[in-house]
Amino acid sequence: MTSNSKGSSKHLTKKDLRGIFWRSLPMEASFNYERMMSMGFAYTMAGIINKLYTNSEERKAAMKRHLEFFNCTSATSPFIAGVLASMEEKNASDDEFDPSSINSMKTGLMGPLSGIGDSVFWGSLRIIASGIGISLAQKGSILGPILFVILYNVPNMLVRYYGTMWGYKLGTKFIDQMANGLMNTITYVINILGNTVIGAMVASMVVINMPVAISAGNHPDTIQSMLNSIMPDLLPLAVTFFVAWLLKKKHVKMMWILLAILAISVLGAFLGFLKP
Amino acid sequence: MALQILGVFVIALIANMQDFLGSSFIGRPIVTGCLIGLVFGNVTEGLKMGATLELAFLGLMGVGATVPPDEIIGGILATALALKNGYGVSVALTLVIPIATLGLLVKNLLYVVVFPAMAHKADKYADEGKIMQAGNVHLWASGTRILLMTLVTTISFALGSNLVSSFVKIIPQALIDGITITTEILPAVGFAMLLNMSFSKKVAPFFFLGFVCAAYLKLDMVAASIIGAIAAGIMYIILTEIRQNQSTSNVSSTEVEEDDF
Repeated sequence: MTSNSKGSSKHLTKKDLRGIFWRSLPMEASFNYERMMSMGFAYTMAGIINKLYTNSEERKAAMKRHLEFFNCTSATSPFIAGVLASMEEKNASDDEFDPSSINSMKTGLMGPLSGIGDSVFWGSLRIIASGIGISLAQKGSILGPILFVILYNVPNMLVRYYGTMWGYKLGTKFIDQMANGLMNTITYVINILGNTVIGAMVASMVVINMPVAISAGNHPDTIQSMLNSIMPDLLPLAVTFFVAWLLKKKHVKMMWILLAILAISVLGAFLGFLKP
Repeated sequence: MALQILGVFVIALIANMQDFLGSSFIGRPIVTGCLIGLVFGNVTEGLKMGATLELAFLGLMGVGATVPPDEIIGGILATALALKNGYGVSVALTLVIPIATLGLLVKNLLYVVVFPAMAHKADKYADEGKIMQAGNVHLWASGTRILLMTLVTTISFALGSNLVSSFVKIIPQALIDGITITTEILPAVGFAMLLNMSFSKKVAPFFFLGFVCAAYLKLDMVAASIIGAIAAGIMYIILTEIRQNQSTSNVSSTEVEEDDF
């Protein structure tokens, strides 16, 4: 054992990784608009967190980490879980490891893997499977729906299972290369990737539209067009930072923020200062 | 009739479990059409309707004026109504639109109020160190959604499409719009939490790099991620260069000192 060991040197076994695979199956079922697939992801990771961490503060921190925002194509998510499992394993045994890199890695992988996942699974495989299924079902053959389910789910399940395993292996290899001196640099670099992706998500996934006219005439300026001329997506950016400030500095309860957003949205729709 | 309602209930239960079972698409109309056909004693017709509806939901074929927003409810009810009353698929589909809109409203209420509240409950469990309970909140949330959507489907079938349509007409459009607006603003809360964990002055330029990629350049997430990876790569090279230079200059300076001795 090296000097930076925390004493907990538990290792993940193939059985633990299979546990991640099984727990990842219901990932999408508790989708919501606040943190999207976070509960599903936390459920996926709960088993290994329970095993890896003995220190109660670290257990809490690890679980809270995975209750943060997560969104990705369901089929490619287990790969991310595999990579993060290797990082959690390292974090549990190494004091030098900076756990903030775990969530940054998660965010950094979300972008490319949902892009690839959506085009492969939603865009291609689903269309191929339905095309074959539909042509058979149109003739009244029961093979139609059966083939549809098989053609889609065999690749779906294989990518989920081997994705978990490969993700863990790749993650372990990557961490091994993080020689102690480079740990800070690599953590920082992962944080760069993660924050770039968050920046892009704020602009593309938060939508606020205020079509209120502020001048008369045939083509009246609206608040939206005025804001757009300053900077597109200025409102999503401002709201995101405002909420972050409320949560961190003012310690406002999340439920109040949620209800306030709901109330403002409904009021905005009734009075017409907000449009979907 | 009672058997048909029971059949619709069981099929809706299985279909709504698709996201729970590996996002496996077992709730798509091509599958539910066949199952509904089985319940109504006309598998061949069910299969053909399922195929037609599947095409409609893929956007490859125009059936009726518009396609309902929820393919699980839409597929099950359109096939069931068509087989029960002898409608054509396109007539049945048009009847289903208000029901599927109701289904979407119920789902959105879960997605903007109920599930976030449950996520906060999970946070609380995590704070108390109850790791497994925190994870299991996901199962409660999933179960709530599956059961609720199954009930909406079954009750709508039992009551008939007319009654549900007149109920849906009472719901003010502004309320439906307001909930849609909430779904568009709410991700800001998730991102705010992420930022509170990882944002700092040292990464701020890169956050805004990503923001500009999407806001001004309209790049998609993959492109933005690649640019983020490139930025990370550049910074990695620069930082390791600096490190190496520092260590070599340290070595040479010690050598110089040794020479002085």
